[in-house]
Amino acid sequence: MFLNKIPQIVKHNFILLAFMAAGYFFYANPEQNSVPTYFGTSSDPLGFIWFLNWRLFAAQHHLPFFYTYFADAPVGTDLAWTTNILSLGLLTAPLVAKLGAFAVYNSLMLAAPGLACWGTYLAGFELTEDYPAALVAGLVFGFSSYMLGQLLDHLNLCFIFAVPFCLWACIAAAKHGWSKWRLGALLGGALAFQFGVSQEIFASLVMFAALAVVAVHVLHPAWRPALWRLLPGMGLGLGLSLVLISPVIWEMLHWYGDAGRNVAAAKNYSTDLLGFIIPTPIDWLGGNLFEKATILFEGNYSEEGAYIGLPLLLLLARLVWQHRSNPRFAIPGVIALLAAILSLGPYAHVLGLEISTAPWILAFKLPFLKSMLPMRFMLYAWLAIAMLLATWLAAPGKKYQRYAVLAFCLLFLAPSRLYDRNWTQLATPTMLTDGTLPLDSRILILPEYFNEMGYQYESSMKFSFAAQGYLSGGLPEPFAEWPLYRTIFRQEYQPFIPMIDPHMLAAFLATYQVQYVVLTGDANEFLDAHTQSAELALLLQQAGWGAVRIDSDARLYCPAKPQAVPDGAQIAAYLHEQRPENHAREIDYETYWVKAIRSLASLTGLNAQIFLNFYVAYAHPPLPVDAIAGELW
Amino acid sequence: MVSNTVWLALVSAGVVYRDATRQRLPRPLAWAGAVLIFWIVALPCYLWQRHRHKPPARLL
Repeated sequence: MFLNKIPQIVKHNFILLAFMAAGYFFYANPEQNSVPTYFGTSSDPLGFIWFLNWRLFAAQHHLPFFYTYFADAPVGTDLAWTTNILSLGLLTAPLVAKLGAFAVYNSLMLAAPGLACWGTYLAGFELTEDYPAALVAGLVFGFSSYMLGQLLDHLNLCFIFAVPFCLWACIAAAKHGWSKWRLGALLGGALAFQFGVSQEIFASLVMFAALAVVAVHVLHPAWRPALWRLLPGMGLGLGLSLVLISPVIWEMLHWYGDAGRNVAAAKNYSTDLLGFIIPTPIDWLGGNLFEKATILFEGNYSEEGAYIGLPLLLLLARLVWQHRSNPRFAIPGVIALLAAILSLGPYAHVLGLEISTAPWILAFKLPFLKSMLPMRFMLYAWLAIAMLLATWLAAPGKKYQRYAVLAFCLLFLAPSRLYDRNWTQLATPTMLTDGTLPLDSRILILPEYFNEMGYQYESSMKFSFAAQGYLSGGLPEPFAEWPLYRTIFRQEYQPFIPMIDPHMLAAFLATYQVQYVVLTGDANEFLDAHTQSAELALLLQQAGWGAVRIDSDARLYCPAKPQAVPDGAQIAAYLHEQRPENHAREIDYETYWVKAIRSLASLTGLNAQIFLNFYVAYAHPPLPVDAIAGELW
Repeated sequence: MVSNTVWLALVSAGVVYRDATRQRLPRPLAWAGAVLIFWIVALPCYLWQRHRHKPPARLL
């Protein structure tokens, strides 16, 4: 029996190699770089690189797996509710030790589309027993809009081989009559692995599996006995996975309060109604043409997985409608539709404008479910679409016409060459890696807010970050309570840096025992007084910190004299102060009103002072009105 | 704070429930619930269903 299957296994493995090669040749870095380079467009990959290294580093130094003081020191931060890619970190630890986290991360990203293709191919083959149809299904899923988007930045969301693998296991179990133990063991391992890659995908996979069971039960009564035979194995798999991941779940329950802070709002990551038919710049055909429209969509381009394209959408609608009595078409069609509707999130949007409630409104505030971002449900829509297309292509009749029609539809999903080779270089300041900083020193890197974890890895974890460390989405507590926190990091708040009280900055640095501040920026940036780096340099000098080393890419600051740690009352007083940007907004508002009063008085010939006195008495403006000059009109 | 979208859905669901009850259409509560959770699809469907089952009458 097994020997008979050898040619088939060889074919499957050959196809795996072909898919992996396709992913590699499509995405591999065309340039050989001497500096560390990673696959991705933003700073999110640096977090994954840090996590890959953390498993090895924590094991080597007997540190906890789910808590670190290397970021957000001295308070530290929990890692349970972050994208900690535990499975990948554990499995690749020997490779990370040998090759480094950058190389391992890049390899995993390059392997992700090939593995996703292969998992879907296996499921498609099990369903149809047609090699070309299964191959196309694999390519549709592995290079779908969802995958192309997530491949821009998110290892945890594109390493989803386990999702189609679970589907393959269920189809194979139903077809070959596997025992519940065999199915349970396979599903348990796959689900536990997927949980370790992304807790969110695990949760949504379980949810969509339940919806699929209901869909099969309702739409195809003839399959109910087979479904009932599968359910014990599926339940066993889920139970086994929960046992395997129970330590992580315990940690997550322990730090449940962080779930709200670290996870973005579902409302902001919902598919736009036009997102199904308007291409984004990720897509080759029309992507740039519609950029002005797609920029208005919620979320960002890496999350825009909904683009199906009008031709494919019409083809799918026709197929499902034409074969609506055939459960092989109706069931994947319903699941794809369900996933697409749920991906609209709690509110339906058109070009970013909220126009209606949407079904996810029932779930988006519930515990755990609120941590899932609806846009990512399109993963299941694409899997269902791939299965539907495989069924259609494998059906009897003239096939070349179908392949031609599908090729035309898929042309609209071809990825853009501008967005596919997303390789980014990380330029770490020399002073962080050459041993200037003493081991275990506590530093703050300004004005960086996203790259710092990459710098820390590049320095071999020789320092920790005070009040800083981009490992999750939210602002870290309690540091963000300081009014200056956003202003010193974020570029959009740069105009308000001169409004920061230097004493407050000195108190902030002393409170968290910051030993060194590294200001990044080249010489030109420090020469121009209006850059973020130059303004922060001036502020540090005013706070009593002096530059002890000036490099071409960064400056190192130390306190000129030992800093006095403020007491609780002083800290409380600082925390009650207004944030600089809010203060600036209030002054703008007041300036507008004072000028408007003067203009009105000037136009009507009345005495402005009477109205200004009235305004001061009842509006209590923060500035004396005499400090504001001029009229509005 | 409840957004304008939710208020719109609530008012529409109330109107649909009242109308479906008065028109004696089947499952008025289900229609109201559908309008509440997916206004933009359920309301046109309800109006179409209403038109199909009954001669056109005043909605309000």
